[in-house]
Amino acid sequence: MQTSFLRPYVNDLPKLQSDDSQAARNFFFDEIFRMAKVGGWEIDLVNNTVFWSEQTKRIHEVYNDYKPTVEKAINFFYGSSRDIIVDRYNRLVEKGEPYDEELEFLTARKRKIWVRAVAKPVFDSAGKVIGGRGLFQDIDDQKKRELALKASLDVINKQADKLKDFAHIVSHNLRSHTGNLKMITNMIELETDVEMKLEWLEHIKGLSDSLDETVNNLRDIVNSQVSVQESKKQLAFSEVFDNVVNALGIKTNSENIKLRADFSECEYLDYVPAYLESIMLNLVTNAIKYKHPQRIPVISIKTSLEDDRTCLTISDNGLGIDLNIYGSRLFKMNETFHNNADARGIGLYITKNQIEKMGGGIEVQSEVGKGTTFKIKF
Amino acid sequence: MQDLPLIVTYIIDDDKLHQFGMRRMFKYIHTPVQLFQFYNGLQALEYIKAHLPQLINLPDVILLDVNMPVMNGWQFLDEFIQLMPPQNHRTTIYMVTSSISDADVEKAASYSEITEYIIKPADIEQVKELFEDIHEKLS
Repeated sequence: MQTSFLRPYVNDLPKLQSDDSQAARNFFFDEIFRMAKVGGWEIDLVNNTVFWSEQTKRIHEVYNDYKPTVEKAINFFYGSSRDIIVDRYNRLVEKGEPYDEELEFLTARKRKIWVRAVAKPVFDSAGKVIGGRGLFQDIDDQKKRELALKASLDVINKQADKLKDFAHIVSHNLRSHTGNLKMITNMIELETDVEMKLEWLEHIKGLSDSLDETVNNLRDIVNSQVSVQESKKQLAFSEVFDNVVNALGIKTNSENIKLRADFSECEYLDYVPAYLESIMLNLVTNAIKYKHPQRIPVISIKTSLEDDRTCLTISDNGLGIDLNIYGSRLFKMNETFHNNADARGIGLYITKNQIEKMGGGIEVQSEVGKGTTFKIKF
Repeated sequence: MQDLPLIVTYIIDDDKLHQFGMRRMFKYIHTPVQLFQFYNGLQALEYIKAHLPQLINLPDVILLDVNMPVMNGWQFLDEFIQLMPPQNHRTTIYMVTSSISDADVEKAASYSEITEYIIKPADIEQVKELFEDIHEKLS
C-alpha cells in the first residue's frame, strides 16, 4: 500500500506523538487559526482522499465527522465563483498551477460569505502532480468592508464626473455671452459713427438679459441635482398629477386641451417628491408647448407595471419630432428643435438626469405630425 | 478694389447679435460682399435648394455656427456636401462658433470641407484676413 503524504495528525496524532509539548503546540496553532478564521486542507490524488482541518469544517459550517470530497467542496461555491474554482482546481491538478482567490461561498447553513481559497500543488520526485494543499479563510468582514468602500468610491467618482460635466456646461453656456460682450466692445471701438457706438451700447442691455436667463437656467440645473438629498416617499400618482395641473393652471378637460390620466394599473410609487413632480411637469409642459397648430392637444398619461417595474407613459398628438435627425440630441443640454422662442433646451436634460439618478430610464417614440410618446421606467 | 467680384457670403447663425456684428464688420473691411443671413441650417439649405437649378446666389463663403435650433451646423454641413459637389462650385466654409469643446474641434478637423475653425468672437483683423484669402482663391 502506498503511503499518503497527508499530515500524520490526520491518522492519529496523539498516539504518534504523545509528547505534552506537542499537544500544547497543537492547541496553540488551533487557537491561532481559529482567531484568523483560517483552515487548512489537503488532497491526495494518489489515494483519492481529501482532508479538511477542524477550522476548515467550521468555516463550511459542517460537523466534525463530515467527509469532504472534491465535488462536495466545489459545490459550496456559487455563481461565477463556482466557475472560477472549477477552473483553478483543474489547473492545479492538471498543470500544477497554484491559486489564490477571493470567492463567494454558501455555507452548509446557507450563509453567504466571502472566502479566500489558496492552493499549492504537491509533486512527486518525477514532477508529477500527486495532490495539493492550501488554506481556506473566512474573509467576509474584510471583503464586505472593501466592497462598501469601493461602492462609496464609485459614488464619489460619479459625483466628480457630474461636477466636471457641470463645470463644462457652465463654461460652455457663459462662453457665447462673453464672446458677444467682447464683440460689442470691439465694435464700439471700431465704429466711427457715434450713433452706431450708441446702438452697440444698447445691445449690452439685451446681452445682460440673456446672461441673466442663462444663469437662471444653470441655477435650475443645480437645484435639480441638489434635491436628491431629499428622501423617498410613497407618492400617489394622482396627487402629483393634480399638483402639476394646478401648477400649469390648466383644466384637464376643456375646449383647448384634453388631459387624460389613468393611474389604475399602478397607483403609487416610492420616489423623491420633487423629482416626480418635476418629471411630470416637464413632460406635460412639453406636450402642450409642442402641440400641433391644427389640433386640440390630447395628452394621455398612464401608469403600468412591466417586469415588476413601475412605468409612466405620456403620449401626445402634437408636432412630433424626427428622431432619426434629433434622436441623439433630444436629451442633451441647450438643444432646441422647433423654432420656438421660449424653448430653453434644459427641460429634457433635467428630466433624464433625475430619472437616471433614481436608477430608471426614459425612452421616446415619435412621428412627425402625429405625436410623441415618452415612456419612463422608474 | 472695385473690380473685385462680389463674394456671396452666407452667415448661418441663430445669434442675432453675432449676425449684426458681422454685417457691421463687413462695412469696415471694404470687401464687396453680398450677404445672406440665415438663422438655422434648414433656412440656408432650403434657399440653396431653391437656387441650385439656376446656379445663382450660391455661397462662395459660409460662416457656419455649430449649435442652432431646427438644424445645427453639422447636420447642415452633411446635407450641403451632398448637395454641392465641390467641382461645380467651390465654397469656402468657416466654422464660427463659441463652442470650445474638444468634440467639436476634432469633428471640424475631420471635415476636409472646413477651412478653419474660428472661435467667437471673430475680430476685424481675422475677418479681413479670411476675405483676403478668399480673394486670392477666387481671382
